[in-house]
Amino acid sequence: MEHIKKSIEYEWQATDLGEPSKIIGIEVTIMPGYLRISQGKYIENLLRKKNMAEANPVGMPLDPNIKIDPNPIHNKPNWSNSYAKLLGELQYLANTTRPDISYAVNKLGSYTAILSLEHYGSLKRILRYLVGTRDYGITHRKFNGQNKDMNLFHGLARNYGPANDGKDNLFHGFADAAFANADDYKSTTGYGFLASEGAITWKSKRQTIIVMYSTESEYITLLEARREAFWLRNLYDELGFPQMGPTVIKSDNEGSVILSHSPQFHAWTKHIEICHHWVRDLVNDKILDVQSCCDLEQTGDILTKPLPKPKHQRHRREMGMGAAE
Amino acid sequence: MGEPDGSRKRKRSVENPEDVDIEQPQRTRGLHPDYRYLSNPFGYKGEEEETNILEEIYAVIARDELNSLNEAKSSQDWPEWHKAIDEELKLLDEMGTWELVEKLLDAITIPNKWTFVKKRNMANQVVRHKVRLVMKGCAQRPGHKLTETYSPVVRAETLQACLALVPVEGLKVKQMDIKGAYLNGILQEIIYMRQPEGFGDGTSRVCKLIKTPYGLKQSGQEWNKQLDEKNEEPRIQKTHIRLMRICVMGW
Repeated sequence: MEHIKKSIEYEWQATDLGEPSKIIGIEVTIMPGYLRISQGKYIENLLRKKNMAEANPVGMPLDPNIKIDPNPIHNKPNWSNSYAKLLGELQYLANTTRPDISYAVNKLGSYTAILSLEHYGSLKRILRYLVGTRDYGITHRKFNGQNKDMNLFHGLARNYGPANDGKDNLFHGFADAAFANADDYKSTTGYGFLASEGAITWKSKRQTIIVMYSTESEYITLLEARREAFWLRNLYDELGFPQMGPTVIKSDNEGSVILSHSPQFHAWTKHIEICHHWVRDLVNDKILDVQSCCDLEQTGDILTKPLPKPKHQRHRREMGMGAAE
Repeated sequence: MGEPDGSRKRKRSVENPEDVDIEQPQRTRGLHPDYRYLSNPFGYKGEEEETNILEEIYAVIARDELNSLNEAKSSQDWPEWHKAIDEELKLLDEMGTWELVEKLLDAITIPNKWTFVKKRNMANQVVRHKVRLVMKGCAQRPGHKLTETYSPVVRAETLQACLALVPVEGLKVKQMDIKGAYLNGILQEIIYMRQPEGFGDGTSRVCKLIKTPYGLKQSGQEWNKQLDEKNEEPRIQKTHIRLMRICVMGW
């Protein structure tokens, strides 16, 4: 540490800021065995700017009971600057510290071209959700028995598996898909990776092709998750923390789990493109391990569909999100 | 829904229909004041105006920032700005950013301007007046002493993946700031700059750039090259280099 600092100071005119409290706008809190990133200040600014700091909070960013219509009153396309501007601000949040609004922002982003009041209302609902959760952030902590007990307390025994235990694996992931829930009958990809009890990367995205079976959409999600896992493994390898064991990815679709291990059901899966079978190759090479989990344990749900409040809160907690302690 | 082709040519039917034609490519400059109201699909004009006022008070970058040297000169805190300008000129001089030469006939000089930013603390009080001399990079043309501009920036995911290691592996986090980072880059091309706006020596000489000041298109890349070169030293381990690079790029 010291000699790196010295070498920087030797080369350039530098000032030492000590332990960071803010890195490129992200607030960081560091304690032994504990690290928390949040953007409370940014959210506060955003809410005040929109005059919604005192609004009534809601429990989840999108209402699962309301179906959003692409164009309910046949509006003409317009250049709505205010919608796109607010959406962009929320997108920045969703990409940096708030995976819980990721799906809602992604979904509403597809209506930017043809707007109606309904979409604008939904976007404001995200702001109302942020009112109640404005100081939430992602907490990373050292794994110990206590955390596990806490999870037991919350209802379900969690099987951590090999992912969280030894040093073999610093991170593990989950991959989920919602079949044909976008407006053009495309599916939604949602995957994320957790390290030290908190989310490090996540993605919520409408898939590019229309698929025939839900298994197929899950299989495509696995491919996306696999690409991310591969990159993360390389990154950690480069930083000097090589991953020995295979990276575990949880999927709640039995079909895609089986497909990723062996080429079965050829009659039903012969149309799946070859590139999507790359997953199988890596599973055989023990770089990746696809495990099945029950639906309730599938944290990826939060990235693929609007959820009712209890489920939303549960998955949010499992991504390491919560208020400051 | 099955309308005749002619209707696609219809102009906007909001306040100033003659201003904007949907068929025209979107302009990004010069349209802003009217565009703001035109773009509002629901006609909440009152709310928009209210928001604008609020933005002035609460925005991260408040609207009371200055846009030009003249504005700064006529503002109340000119003494502070003047002090900051002197500091910046001193830094540029220390770094050996340019040398003054007689202007050649065919030399194209790129103009520059001053930027003024008030640094605020959490309570929104001004703590520091920061001034920077920036080149007007928009005066550069691709192909003319400007080819490559690629410069990597840290991704949010990378930063988070690194920060997640901190509690598990018991790492220490330090933050450093390199003063006038871009001014360390060494310019490959011969580029001339006008003398600093409002602070020239009164002659017709121009600045021949040696280092890469802020605002030049290739500055980021040259600074990145410097980072690469200096990191080749064997006394720093590879992993540390990587971490350091991520850090330095991030800040």
